Amino acid sequence: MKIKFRLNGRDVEADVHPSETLLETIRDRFEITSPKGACTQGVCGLCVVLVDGEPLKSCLVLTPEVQDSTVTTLEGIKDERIETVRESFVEKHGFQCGFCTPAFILRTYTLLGRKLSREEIREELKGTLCRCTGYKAIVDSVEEALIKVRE
Amino acid sequence: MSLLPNFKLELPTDLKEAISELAGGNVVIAAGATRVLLMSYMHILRPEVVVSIRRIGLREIKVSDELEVEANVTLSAVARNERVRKEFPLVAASASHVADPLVRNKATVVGNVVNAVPYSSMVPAFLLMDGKAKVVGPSGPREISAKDFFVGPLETAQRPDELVTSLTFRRVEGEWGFTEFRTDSQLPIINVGVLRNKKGKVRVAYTGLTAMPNLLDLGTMPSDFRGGYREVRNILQDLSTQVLDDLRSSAEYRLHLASVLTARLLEGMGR
Amino acid sequence: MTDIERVDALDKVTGRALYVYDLKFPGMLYAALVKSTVPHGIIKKVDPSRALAREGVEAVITGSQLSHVRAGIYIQDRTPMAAEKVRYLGEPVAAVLARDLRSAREAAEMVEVDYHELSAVVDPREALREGAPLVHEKLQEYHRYQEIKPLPNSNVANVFRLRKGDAQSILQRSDLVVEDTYTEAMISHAYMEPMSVIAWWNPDGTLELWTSAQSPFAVRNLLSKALELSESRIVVHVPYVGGGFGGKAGLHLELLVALLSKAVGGRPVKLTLSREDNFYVAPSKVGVSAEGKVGLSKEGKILALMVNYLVDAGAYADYAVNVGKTMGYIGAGPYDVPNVWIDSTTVYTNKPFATAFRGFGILEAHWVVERLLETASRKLGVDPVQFRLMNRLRPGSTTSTGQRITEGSGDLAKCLQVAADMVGWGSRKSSSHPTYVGRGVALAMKGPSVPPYNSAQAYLKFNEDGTLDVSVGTTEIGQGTMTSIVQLVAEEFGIQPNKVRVDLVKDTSRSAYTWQTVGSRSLFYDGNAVLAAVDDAKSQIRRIASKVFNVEEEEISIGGGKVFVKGGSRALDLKDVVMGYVTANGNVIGSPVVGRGSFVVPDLTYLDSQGQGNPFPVITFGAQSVEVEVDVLTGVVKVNKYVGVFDLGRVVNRGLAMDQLVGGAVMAISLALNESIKFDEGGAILNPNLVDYKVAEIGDVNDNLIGVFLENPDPKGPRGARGIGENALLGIPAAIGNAIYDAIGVSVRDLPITPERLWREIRAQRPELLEV
Repeated sequence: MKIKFRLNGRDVEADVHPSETLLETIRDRFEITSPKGACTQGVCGLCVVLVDGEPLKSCLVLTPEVQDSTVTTLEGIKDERIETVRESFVEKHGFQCGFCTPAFILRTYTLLGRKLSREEIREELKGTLCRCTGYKAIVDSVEEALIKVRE
Repeated sequence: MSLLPNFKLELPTDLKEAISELAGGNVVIAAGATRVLLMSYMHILRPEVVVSIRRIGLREIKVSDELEVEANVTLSAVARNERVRKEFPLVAASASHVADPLVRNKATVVGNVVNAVPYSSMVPAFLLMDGKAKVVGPSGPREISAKDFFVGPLETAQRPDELVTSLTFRRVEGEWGFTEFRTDSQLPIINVGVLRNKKGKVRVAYTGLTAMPNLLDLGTMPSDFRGGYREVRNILQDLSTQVLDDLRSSAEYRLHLASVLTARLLEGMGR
Repeated sequence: MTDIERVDALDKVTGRALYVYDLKFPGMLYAALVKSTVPHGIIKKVDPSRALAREGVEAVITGSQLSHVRAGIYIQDRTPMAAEKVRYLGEPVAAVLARDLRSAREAAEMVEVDYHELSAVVDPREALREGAPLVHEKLQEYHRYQEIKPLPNSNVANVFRLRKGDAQSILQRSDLVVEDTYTEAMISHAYMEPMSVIAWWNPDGTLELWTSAQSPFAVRNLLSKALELSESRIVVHVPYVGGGFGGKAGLHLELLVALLSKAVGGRPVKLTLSREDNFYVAPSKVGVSAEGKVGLSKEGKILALMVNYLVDAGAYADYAVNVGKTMGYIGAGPYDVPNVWIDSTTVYTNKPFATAFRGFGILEAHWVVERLLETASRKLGVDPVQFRLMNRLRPGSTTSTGQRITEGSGDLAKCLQVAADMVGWGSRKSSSHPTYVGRGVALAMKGPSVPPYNSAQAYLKFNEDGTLDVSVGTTEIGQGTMTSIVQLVAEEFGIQPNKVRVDLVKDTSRSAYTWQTVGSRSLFYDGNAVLAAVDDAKSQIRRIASKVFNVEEEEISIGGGKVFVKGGSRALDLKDVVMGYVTANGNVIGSPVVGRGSFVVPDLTYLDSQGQGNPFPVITFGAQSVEVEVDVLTGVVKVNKYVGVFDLGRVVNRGLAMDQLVGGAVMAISLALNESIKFDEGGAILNPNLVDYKVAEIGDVNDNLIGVFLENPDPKGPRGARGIGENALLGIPAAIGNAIYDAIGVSVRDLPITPERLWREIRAQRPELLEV
């Protein structure tokens, strides 16, 4: 199926299988590596991308569904506030092996501007797994990023 | 990564076209498509044709003396909607329990009900609030009431050539409660919703208890009601031979949990 | 020391860090596996014709084509794929190679395999029975590590025996004997990056591999033996690794993928497991059942301990035999017990197989020993904390293998006191039906479980501007050792950490050697090796500077990025010395500095027939405590608070050490409460997915995870330090079990403690709690 969408700021076209997921398309056809398929069973949430600004699991999106949509991965975020998010993750040790890190950083980006308690941060970030950190340092990082951006 | 099995994908752009796509039968309808994809990944489903209704509109949440949620409305949209939260809190709360925010951004309220999966979060509210499914088929529209909607395990009164275009939920004045219980699975073992109307009449609905959803009358209970485990357990005894027994929970534990969780909801409502 | 920023930070937070999962090469073929549909059976026929006819498919390779090659770290019981027979449901029997993954996966479904099914043995107890189906018929013929002794014509891969004193007769004379049986489920490591390997043969016969592995040098060594190819002809690349937790130690899919590449003329071949395949094809943690018996004096002194472990390895025991052995030789763990009797029997079953897991048998043993001793102390009416203090190992006492404890292992008593105090041991608990609060403690003791000869190299070379490049063999799997290495080196020269570059990704042809990245050994072994390299470089620098300044070498000091004469005012920048000092007339004093170092612990021993000897290069003590809340009506356990206290000798980077402590705690809580691979009677996995295999989510745990580090320097450690990666888990499951007993008086013996399981225990042991 021929489809067109906007990917990280440029218009792209691809001829995809009907049952091809957005995760496959952006990794295999466009060689964008930050979204990872750690389970490709709809659980791990490491494949998160923004579709028209909404974070979705790209293994649960059929590529033909994003016709005419805007798709953004961590690579495509040009807003300088993303640097604040990154700094916060570095400072607060919000990662270890790093495999889930692009997903958590992209999801944190979607929360910027909001004022959230630690409990609310945990609620908002449900759906992405991390096997290394025990999450505490991730929550620290997100909390820090939200405060810094608000300031 | 896991790959989805090959299937044909149809993306009709209006309702009429969508209905005509269904005519052949043997197709799977997808709105958010999360169930189709998840079940395919888990080898439970191997569709030949998927008809995605994403491009046919039906994205509205309509609030009047009832709540109407159209087929492409996501769970997130309902959970976040201020009027729904205020006026139909049980619907909003149920929607906000499904999976996680990423899944809720794609999965729909209608899908969560019409798939009739035993772990559905929305079905208890649909039953308790005298819901109706608005259905369109080749011979035109019809309505199916919630109590007639579920006809067997994973089976509904929706015919293969029909599409559920929206669900309605009746406005109920009174108190409500909703809870789910998950253990060592991402999917809940059981979902429980309760409603007490202004006259004190209490109804409870479950998914996950038996293969089909359950709606039960618990009679009249005062607002300072306490306890209830025994009462609920006695009422549920009739169902005991049908209670699900699977990987996630034994029947015995499910039955016990249903009673405990219901009793807690009943107590919680009065406070 | 002051923490420095993680050296892998920017790659990871920008999403630019590349894992094998992300890599591809021109002309690369994708492999997909054809998996057995029966748990045990003779392969009668593999028909690849339909698959070969599919567009995009280049080759189908069957297990029997590769059956001439065997591999394994402790026992070579595996061929790259099943050849004559399959030993578990899901075992690869053939691989399809295609130009794209979709073609490969679809074609794999088209390969037809006929089996003559054999009766299978799924339960390890059944596997021990006389006449049980044999998983391996020619067990005794397998090449193996010297301490491993399979029993011919049985399913027993190894029996490890430890005998210290005379436990059997002392037990008969003890004032109190307590016995119980414990079980632990098989568990998935659930590292986020699935196993992934690319193999590519060069025209000169050199094999290049990119693998998501913890131990590139072990991969190289084991491949070299299996392929009869010299180690210098094998180059193993390990880029960033998306988690390992023991599951990526040793050799896994590398051999298969290397042979697949060879079979297609050396083209690059990539195999990445889907999550489902990762449950079947990649190994998990062993399953355990254990019968324990302890004898005490009425004063509460432990007189004797007996434990009989049965370790379920699944169909291959390659690495599991050593897990089973370690479970045995940790013996009574951190307790001073004069009489210890341990049997640890590792058996084969027709199930997916098991390997190393963070904690390596010692985690499993802590569940048994700490629960059993808790029960004993409660029966005797001795406070569990006092009981532990009384019976603990201390400097001068010996472990169950007879290894002597020194001051260097730190202050175990203090660890326990702090852990108990901070969790509120002895203070009031606010329980109200149906929610009960309880507290539990457990001690923790571990050393790396390694062969005595295991070792590490390191080197560093200076650049013209005085910056330097450091190489160690250990891999960055998330634990942060690379950062600690940089910190140690920067501190030694007194330079900014950003002037020290470490080889974050490994290439066995260039990186310094280390045995494996396992067992919390990296900071100790690689850290010591790198300090030796620093010392070597420093002596070269001193030699040059002594000539420049015309003083004795002993008078030269190095620090603050400078080389100077002690007590004097003369100083040179490092950069003016490290490439050789150029004099005014152009002569050069010295030559460029390359520091080399290595490390081995010379006095470790194999264990003798009684399980006695010195196995641990280093021992780390700790104590762990939890407060739990038990909802008796649902069986749900919540960990309200966790305190982990470890004497690390010295903490190099506090933040990183805390990351291990917290991350390890959540992993341990998750596996204690939720995680198990569930099998049906035919050996099929019922939950080969992250839907029904539950890994802790962000909302499942709280922030109340507290770490305390004591620092009694270990003279053997690099600047006194020891690692913590595995230690972080050890006592937590038992502390939770002990806390549940403290809360409701119900004894749990089986892991995981799922709500339904606990509810059943409550109903059996304290039915009155369920009355409503």
